Amino acid sequence: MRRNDPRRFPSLSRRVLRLSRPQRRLAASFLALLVAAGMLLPFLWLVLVSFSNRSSFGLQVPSWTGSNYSKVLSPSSGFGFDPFLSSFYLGLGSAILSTVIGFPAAYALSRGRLRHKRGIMLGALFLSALPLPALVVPIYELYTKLGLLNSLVFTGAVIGVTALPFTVWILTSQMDSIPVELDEAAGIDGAGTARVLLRIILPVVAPGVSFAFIFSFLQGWGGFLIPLILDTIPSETPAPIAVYNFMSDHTGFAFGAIGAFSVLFCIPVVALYSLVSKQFSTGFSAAGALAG
Amino acid sequence: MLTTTDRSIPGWTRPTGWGAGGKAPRRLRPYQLRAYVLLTPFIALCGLLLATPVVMALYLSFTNIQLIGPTATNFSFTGLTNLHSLISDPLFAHSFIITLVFAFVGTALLQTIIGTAVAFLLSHAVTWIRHLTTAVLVVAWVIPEVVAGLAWYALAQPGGVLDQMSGAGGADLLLKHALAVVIAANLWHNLAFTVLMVTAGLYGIPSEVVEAAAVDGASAPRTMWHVKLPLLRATLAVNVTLSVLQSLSVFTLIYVMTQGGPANATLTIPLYLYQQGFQDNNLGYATLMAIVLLLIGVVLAAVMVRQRVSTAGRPSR
Repeated sequence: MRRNDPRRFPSLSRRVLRLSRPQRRLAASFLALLVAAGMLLPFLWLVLVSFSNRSSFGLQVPSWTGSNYSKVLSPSSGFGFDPFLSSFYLGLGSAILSTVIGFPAAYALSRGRLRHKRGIMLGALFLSALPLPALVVPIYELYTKLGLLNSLVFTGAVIGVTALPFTVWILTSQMDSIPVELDEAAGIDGAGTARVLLRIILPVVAPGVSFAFIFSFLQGWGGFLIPLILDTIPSETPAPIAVYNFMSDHTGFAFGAIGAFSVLFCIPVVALYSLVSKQFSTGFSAAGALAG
Repeated sequence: MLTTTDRSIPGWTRPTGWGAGGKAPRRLRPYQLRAYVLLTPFIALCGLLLATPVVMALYLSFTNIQLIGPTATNFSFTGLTNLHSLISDPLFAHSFIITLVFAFVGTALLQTIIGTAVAFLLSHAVTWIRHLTTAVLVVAWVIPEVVAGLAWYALAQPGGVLDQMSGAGGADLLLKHALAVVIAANLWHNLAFTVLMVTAGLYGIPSEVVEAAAVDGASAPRTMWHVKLPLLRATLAVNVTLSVLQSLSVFTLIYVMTQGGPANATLTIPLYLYQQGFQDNNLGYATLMAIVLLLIGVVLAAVMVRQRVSTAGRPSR
């Protein structure tokens, strides 16, 4: 076909092609706005239903009430604080393990000039990419052997380890961009490894560390499958499982409570991510670099 | 044992630094020794909690181990019995196909096409709208899977928002089109990943290439299709691998919405192995399914690592 063959572009697409630059901008912006609106719909529903006293499925402006929130937070009619606390502990355990282990490991990988650096990093990447539902069955079997089941700490540790490779990747890529002269100078001044790590490196990579900390925390906070299998003590049930159990007990009639729960459960997530939203883009480019 | 790696001449120079002074050949330089000390907890934990279970699973998948009861501890090696049941299990074959549809049609195809389209849209949109849309996408991505599942469960109820919008009039979408709804929910939850990745890829395209196309008189859509899209091939390939891997891990979203039902319509392998192992007490059988899922994951993860290696070599990235 020749370049200007009319068959190549039917009339409509021809008209689209002829759009001027500002027109194209306007059209793209409008469509992007539609995408945003569509994406927002589930959130809108959750927020509206959380303030509604009718448990309806449709999207409608409620007669405002806060009763769903008070119901959710009371231990008798809803969840109380305990499930949120369990999720918090899972998150904290995961975050502490992942950063405390990941930070020195990243330093070693960045500065150690190790022959196996590439192998170690790719190996960790490989392990972290394996499907979690497949890993959790053998982890359950290992924990049975070791007697570590039904403990929030060890359950959080598993989540922390699954977040560990990501932490190491992010921190290694950040440390690679710090000039080696910085820690060499400190070393000449007589600072030991621990001192260099905590006094010199940590302040410089603090954004990356806080991003990794928050990332690992949220893995634990939202954790469902791992605690479902590894910790079955009812008093330690984390929030995601608690809301699932609640939902199966109140089939279809407690959407106000579920909306209120979702809003409460997501507020820390969105708040923490917006705290590190600047690192989020660099974190993503690290993840993107990790991908290609 | 004398080796050629020890270059110091005894008595002439006095070795300094960590790990020096011994008579054994020093393979490790001091800084390397320190590095390995710092690395040990990381490697030990990954080994204990990620690698050991995989090795254990290889053995346990050939046993009749159960979740509870006497066989939970006194299990025995049953050879290929599990494998035989797996091959002749019609539900596993069904579950395998559902997994493939969920992973490849739902994620690899739909998420990649829609995500790329949105990324192109955003690259032409006004700045504040671009930021706004990206923010909404990212929030949908970072919220816990359980909330995404709850929201979509509610949206798909009879009389719910999806029902109202489609005009189906009181249809239970989770009964009729469960797999489609679950795929849509997963797409909603993970769209940001592809959009961000393609956006990063678009930024990586040298502006000279795009300008050259403009000078040659190519319109914006043609530049997209014939210039930018081919340059994004590596990015898109990585995106497909990663999102398929991600979709193999999806459990919570489906479990919250359908628990694999109705009539096993959304029973992906993760749900089936949970059902077998932790509800029907067949832990050994579930372990074998975990191995199958792992093998699929291993192949894809190996592809991902290769992609990483091949792109890492390029100077432009």
